[in-house]
Amino acid sequence: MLALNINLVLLGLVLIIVLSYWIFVFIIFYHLVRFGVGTLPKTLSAFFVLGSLVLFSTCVFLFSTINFGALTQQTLQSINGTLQKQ
Amino acid sequence: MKSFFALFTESPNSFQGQEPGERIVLFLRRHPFTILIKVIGISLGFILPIVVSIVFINYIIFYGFFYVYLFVVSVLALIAWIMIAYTVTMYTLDVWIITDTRILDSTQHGFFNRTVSELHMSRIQDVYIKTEGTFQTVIGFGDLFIQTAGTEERFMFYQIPQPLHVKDVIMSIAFPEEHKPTPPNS
Repeated sequence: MLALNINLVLLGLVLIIVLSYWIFVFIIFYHLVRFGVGTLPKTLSAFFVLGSLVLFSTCVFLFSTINFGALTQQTLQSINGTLQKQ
Repeated sequence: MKSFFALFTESPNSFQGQEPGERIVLFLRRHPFTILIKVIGISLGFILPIVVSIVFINYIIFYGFFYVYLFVVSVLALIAWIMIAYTVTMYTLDVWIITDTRILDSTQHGFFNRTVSELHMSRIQDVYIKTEGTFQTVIGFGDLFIQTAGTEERFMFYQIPQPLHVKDVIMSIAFPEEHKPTPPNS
């Protein structure tokens, strides 16, 4: 039950961070298109949203490749290895 | 769809509140050098931790943290990207528009804090420029100040390219009898 709650909290945190990120992206996009004079702000806004999309997808993909089950084991191994060397 | 892509094609500048028949003479932003320095600073802040972590790359791979490492790098890139976007947005939205009748100063002080002020050419009393430091002198940008009538606040243009040319243009509009504009880069 406790583990489930921790997972829920973590999931909630990730959701808040992701949502905040996309709200921030939207605000920047809106400001550039709404208040920008000339074509430069519009071009920049398109470039920025595209870059955000690519980087965000990369982050999600790399996050999905992490094996969280083995992460604790690996961390313990690395700590033990470092201690044994010392 | 065609109108959407028209957003990115060149067109004569226009702005909100432009009066009928009002002609834009100069459209100014800060010198690109000022934004370049900030972007380089943020990029270095992103690249340095990665360069430092490369020293430990064998250790990271040996203990199977390579994907975690890549994920952390991608998150850092995402943070740097959004910081650069914010900086560039503030730079892009800070504009000075000189028309044949007035000067508009639109300054963005953050997302939800924006000031727009205007000055009519008839109120101009004095225009002067200030170029200080090595970079401003070598690259050719500086500040321009407009003194208006009475005790009113000065109108300021910060870090604009070719301030001398801009001063001449303003003077030639405000006092057409006395001043003729000099060509840029002179």
